[in-house]
Amino acid sequence: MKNGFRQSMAWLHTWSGLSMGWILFAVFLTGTLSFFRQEITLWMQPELHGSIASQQAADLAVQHLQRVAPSAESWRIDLPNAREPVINVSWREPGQTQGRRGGPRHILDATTGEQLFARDTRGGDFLYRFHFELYALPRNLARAIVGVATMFMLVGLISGIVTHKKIFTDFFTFRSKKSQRSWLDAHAATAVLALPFHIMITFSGLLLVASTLLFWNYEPRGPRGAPEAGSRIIQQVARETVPVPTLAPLLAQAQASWNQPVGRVVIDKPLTSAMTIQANSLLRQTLTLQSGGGPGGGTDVLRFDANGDMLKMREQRADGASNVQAVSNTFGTLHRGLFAGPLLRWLFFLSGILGCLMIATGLVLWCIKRARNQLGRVGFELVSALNIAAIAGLSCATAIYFWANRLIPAHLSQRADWEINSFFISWGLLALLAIWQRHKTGWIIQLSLAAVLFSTIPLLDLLNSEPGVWNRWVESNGIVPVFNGLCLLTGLAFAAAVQYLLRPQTKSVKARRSHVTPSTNSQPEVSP
Amino acid sequence: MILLSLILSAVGFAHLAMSVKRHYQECFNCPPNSRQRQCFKLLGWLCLTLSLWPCLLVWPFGIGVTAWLGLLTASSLMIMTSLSYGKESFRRCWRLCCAGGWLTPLLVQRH
Repeated sequence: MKNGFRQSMAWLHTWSGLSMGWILFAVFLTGTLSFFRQEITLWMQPELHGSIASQQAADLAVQHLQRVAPSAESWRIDLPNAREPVINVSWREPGQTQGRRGGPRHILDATTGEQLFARDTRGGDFLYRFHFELYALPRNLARAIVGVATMFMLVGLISGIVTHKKIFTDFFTFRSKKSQRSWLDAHAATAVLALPFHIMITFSGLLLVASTLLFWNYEPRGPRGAPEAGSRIIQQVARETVPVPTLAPLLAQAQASWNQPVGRVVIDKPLTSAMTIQANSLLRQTLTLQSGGGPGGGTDVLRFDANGDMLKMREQRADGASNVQAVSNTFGTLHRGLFAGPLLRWLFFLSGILGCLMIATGLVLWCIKRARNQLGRVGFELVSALNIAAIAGLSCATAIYFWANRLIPAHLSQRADWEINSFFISWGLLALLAIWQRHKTGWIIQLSLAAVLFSTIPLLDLLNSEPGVWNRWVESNGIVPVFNGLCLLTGLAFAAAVQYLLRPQTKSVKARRSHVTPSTNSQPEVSP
Repeated sequence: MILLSLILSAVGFAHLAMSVKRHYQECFNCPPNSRQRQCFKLLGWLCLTLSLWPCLLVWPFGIGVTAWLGLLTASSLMIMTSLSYGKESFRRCWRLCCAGGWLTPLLVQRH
């Protein structure tokens, strides 16, 4: 009886994993990259690389806003931080509804306060959006597809745990050089070692898209923003100009009281005597408060008036969320890593890479198990082709997205679209190639391509940026060099996978294949 | 603090790995006796539990637990890789830093 149950679970695991595995791999890979969404966007805007965070950033932003938007209803200043060295300012003119993007937006150099004009790119946001809304599909349909895939993932995880016979005994087991056994070990290890992360990310992901799946419960979303803002009657009073107090000491005060930097400053009714200055902390201190949505939800807040005196804080932080909401907020915040400092972000990234490897090894394992009996059958060949297209092809396409960013002229109109087009065109071409070459040769071709593309990205960046980059890298906080370094490592990992495939084989194992995703930390293929 | 947590959990995982017959045999060419295995298991779980504590000192509860789980992933990955590809260094670390390593002569003699 027990055996029967386990077998049916194994069946469920195989087919739930296979049917959605390719989408899941894409969602997992782009999602994992999205943990570094801001960093990727920064890398993709070389015009901003010269900016270095400074203490006067807030005051420089105020000077700029005074010049360009003296009559605005409110100003919003996103201060430079470890992940983004520039100042982002935006403002709302009187009568304007507070849309999601919140009116006009300027990017300023954090040391000089000059306005910077970055090239038009979607940057990491494209990967982030693709991760749950795919691309060029109706929003709800895409979310539903991702939602169903997530559900399959959850099913796959649970049935996988049941199927795994000896979770504790095999916890650390990885037997290399044993073909199918090694693949199975790699699949199990990448799954088990990061199991809490996999369950958390899948379950919370499911909650985030759940509203779309329950379509009978679906409430169309109206334009976001404060409801009263649009209907409010505009009162253009001749305003007396009250100078904004120097922000640096206020922010230092806030920083000291939170023990973490200020992320955002919002000045309401600027340059009037009714002005309030609100400072939000950069990271969340708690998981239960609302995630996403409104400005600064869940962060610490301090307010000051026009004289720079601290106002009494609102005491609504603790309450306001019911238990159900608190649970939902917790998962939302966890999923997006909104509270995460650099270390946690890297841990999430590592776990995400393990997740990608888990899906990829699972897909490859399906083929290896069936290679002897089913070679030549339509289903088997289809899965082989899709595996290459989804795993190696997507990796190449991601590299090409970065390449396109540097190769497409900075001032071309609609260049952001062209970056995305080049991503999809190359992915499509590689998929065609995968249909034509769907066995070992296919893997070798596409993985070599990925290896070359990724490992030359640092070179591309070097040739493409202005002279004197080394000095700039020393001064800046290292996002760009780290990005380049990671690309190089990824390239080397792919190269190692190619080397593994090219090594002389003792037995003629037909249809043995390999793959690898961007990580060097867990290379099951690389023999010492 | 975070490093302490990472080291504690790695030590814990090393003990748990050594409580598995196969891994112990691969490392030391002799099977562990049952007393050893139980002792390692106990020490392993103890270290793992202890490694949560530094995380809770650094972060608030929810974030601390999340970070702890992330660190567990990292340290178990380290132990697994070293067991597969760096047995020699694992043995050295085991003898030098792990209580289980120091206790081994004691436990084996009694047997």
